[in-house]
Amino acid sequence: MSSQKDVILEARHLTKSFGLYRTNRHDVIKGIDLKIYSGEFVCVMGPSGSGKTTLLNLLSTIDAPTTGSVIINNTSVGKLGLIGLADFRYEHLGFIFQDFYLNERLSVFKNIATPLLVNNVDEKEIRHRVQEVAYLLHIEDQLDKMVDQCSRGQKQRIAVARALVTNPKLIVADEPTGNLDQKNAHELLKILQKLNKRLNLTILLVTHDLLVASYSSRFFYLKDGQITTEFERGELSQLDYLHRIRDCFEDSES
Amino acid sequence: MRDLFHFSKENFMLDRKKNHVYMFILAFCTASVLLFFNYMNNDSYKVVSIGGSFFSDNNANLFVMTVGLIMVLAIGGLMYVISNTFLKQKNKEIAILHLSGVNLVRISVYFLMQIMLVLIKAIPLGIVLFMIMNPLFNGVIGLTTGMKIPLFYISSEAVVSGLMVIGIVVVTLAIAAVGFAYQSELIDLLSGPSKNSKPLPISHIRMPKVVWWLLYAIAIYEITTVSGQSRALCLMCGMGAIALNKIIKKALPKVFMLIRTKFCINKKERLIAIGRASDLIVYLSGYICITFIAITFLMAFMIETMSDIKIFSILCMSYFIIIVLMNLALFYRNLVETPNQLHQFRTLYYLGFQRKQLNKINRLELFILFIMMTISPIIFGGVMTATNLSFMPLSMGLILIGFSILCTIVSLTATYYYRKRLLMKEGALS
Repeated sequence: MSSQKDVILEARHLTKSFGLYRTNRHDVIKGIDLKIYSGEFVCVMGPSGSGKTTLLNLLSTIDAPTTGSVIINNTSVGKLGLIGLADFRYEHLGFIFQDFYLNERLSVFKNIATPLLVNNVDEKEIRHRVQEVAYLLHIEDQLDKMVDQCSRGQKQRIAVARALVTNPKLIVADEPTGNLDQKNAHELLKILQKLNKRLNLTILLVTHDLLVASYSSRFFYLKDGQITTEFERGELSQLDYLHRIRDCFEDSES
Repeated sequence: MRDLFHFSKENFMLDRKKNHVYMFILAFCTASVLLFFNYMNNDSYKVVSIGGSFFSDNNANLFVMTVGLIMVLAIGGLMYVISNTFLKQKNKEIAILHLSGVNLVRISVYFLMQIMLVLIKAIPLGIVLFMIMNPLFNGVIGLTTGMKIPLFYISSEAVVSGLMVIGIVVVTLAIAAVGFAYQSELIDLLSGPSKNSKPLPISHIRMPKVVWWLLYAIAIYEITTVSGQSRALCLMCGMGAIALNKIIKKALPKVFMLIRTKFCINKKERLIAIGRASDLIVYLSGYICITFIAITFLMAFMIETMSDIKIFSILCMSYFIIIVLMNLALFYRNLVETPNQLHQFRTLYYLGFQRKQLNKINRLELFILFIMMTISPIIFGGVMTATNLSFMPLSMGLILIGFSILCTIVSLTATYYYRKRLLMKEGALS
């Protein structure tokens, strides 16, 4: 697929091991090569302990690989210094986590605006950008509310809005629906799908949930630190795509 | 930087109550440091010696200086520990800043500003506290000893030395804030430090638990055989502290487990409270042992130096200040960590526990902690007083032990009501 499209993220021979000595050494990621293209909605799925979150951390600059390299937007992130890495995150990446990571006692507006407030952005620009993303996520009337008064679904939307407010090229989501009920999870995934299509936003999502994976456009199955299966949704309906994912899951488990 | 300052200040103001406690502790530390320096430089105390002093004049002055400096260092250390507690509660804030693409320099500045916001109020407040405490202290010593001490005496040397020490502490705290920001890796903040990447602990010889109980009992017995010798008493108390530390970490959890399985299996509140208390006591073992050492060592020295007013009064002052500070530190630690423990109570609430039951667990847990914190100082202090009645009157021993118990009661009662208020707060558990 997408050979004409720009590669936004590339992993080359990525490995990650924990433990200092041979006796307690544990290889979590065992040589992964992958390319993610601009505008894709990629899902990485796998059973517990397969290394999903570790892989996501490596791909999103949160952790450093033992060997191999990660290239995002033609920049090898391993070569960036501490300060360069922070600036790079600000310009290129948005993060969404299961635990929201919001400041509960600040207003919704302040939470969304945090990346801008601490990075010297003009006040008018902040207001404009926050309102823009709040509108996209249907929380424009919640901006003055305190976060601790919001529901879990709203909190995750706020986290998404905060991830979007810096106009990143890539959104990284680690089990974003893990703390949500089915209805809120569906709504959030629909929003991510919409953002992916409307803004041509690249999304990298990690989950262990088959249904969540069925919202993506490209699927990776991770087992024991290696990608064992990879396919695209293409023209498949969501239901057929879900069935294919389920089959892949069952084949891998058997 | 203005935007960063405003954001830092705004976040800082959200924790107003906790920050006030932190500020008060730092102010109290500042006042204590100034008080110690002022005391050491006060000539009115230098010539006084009642009865047969244990020390010669030169040795006595050296002893006073040593105790004073140890106290100043201890207070500085406590300020550092408290500041670390203050910074550790900021993990989530750092994670949010990292995720927002804020670089480490700005994160350091962000925390530096928060520390400075506290210090800017704490130091003047500390100086005011010193101005209040100084005449009170001089007055009390003057009244009890009959010495003529100018109430408002303030040595300029003391103020300079005190402020220099405070300056060093401020710089240390600033470095701690910057270091804290630099050593906080995003991966650790999001998932906790990776245990796999740490080297395995070096195996050590495991002593049977009974050895620590025996050591504890031997230390108590030996105290009864030593009379009026502070160094020997300190040695025994040190032995007791080592045994106490091991008992808390190795033996007590088993004892608590036994109590739970034998006597509390059908009493769920007790079952949970004892389990929680067991964990809390292990967690606070370092604190319990340091408090034990401070109380017993100072009491041991007081027994021997009762006849020397200058030394005795500085030891008394050290005792009262250190007890107050340790309990303030305990309260602050509980204050900071209680909201993190709320999810455990929330889980119990979801499992069907009522708020009243949760409060009962809270009460019982803190009561067990209180017992554990006070029992060893009571035993050791009591035995020391009882076997050294010819050196220190019983009333003095009771005042010293009573004061430490009273401070622990106040600290834990404040913790209890703070937790209770959080538990009873509408919506806190849902």
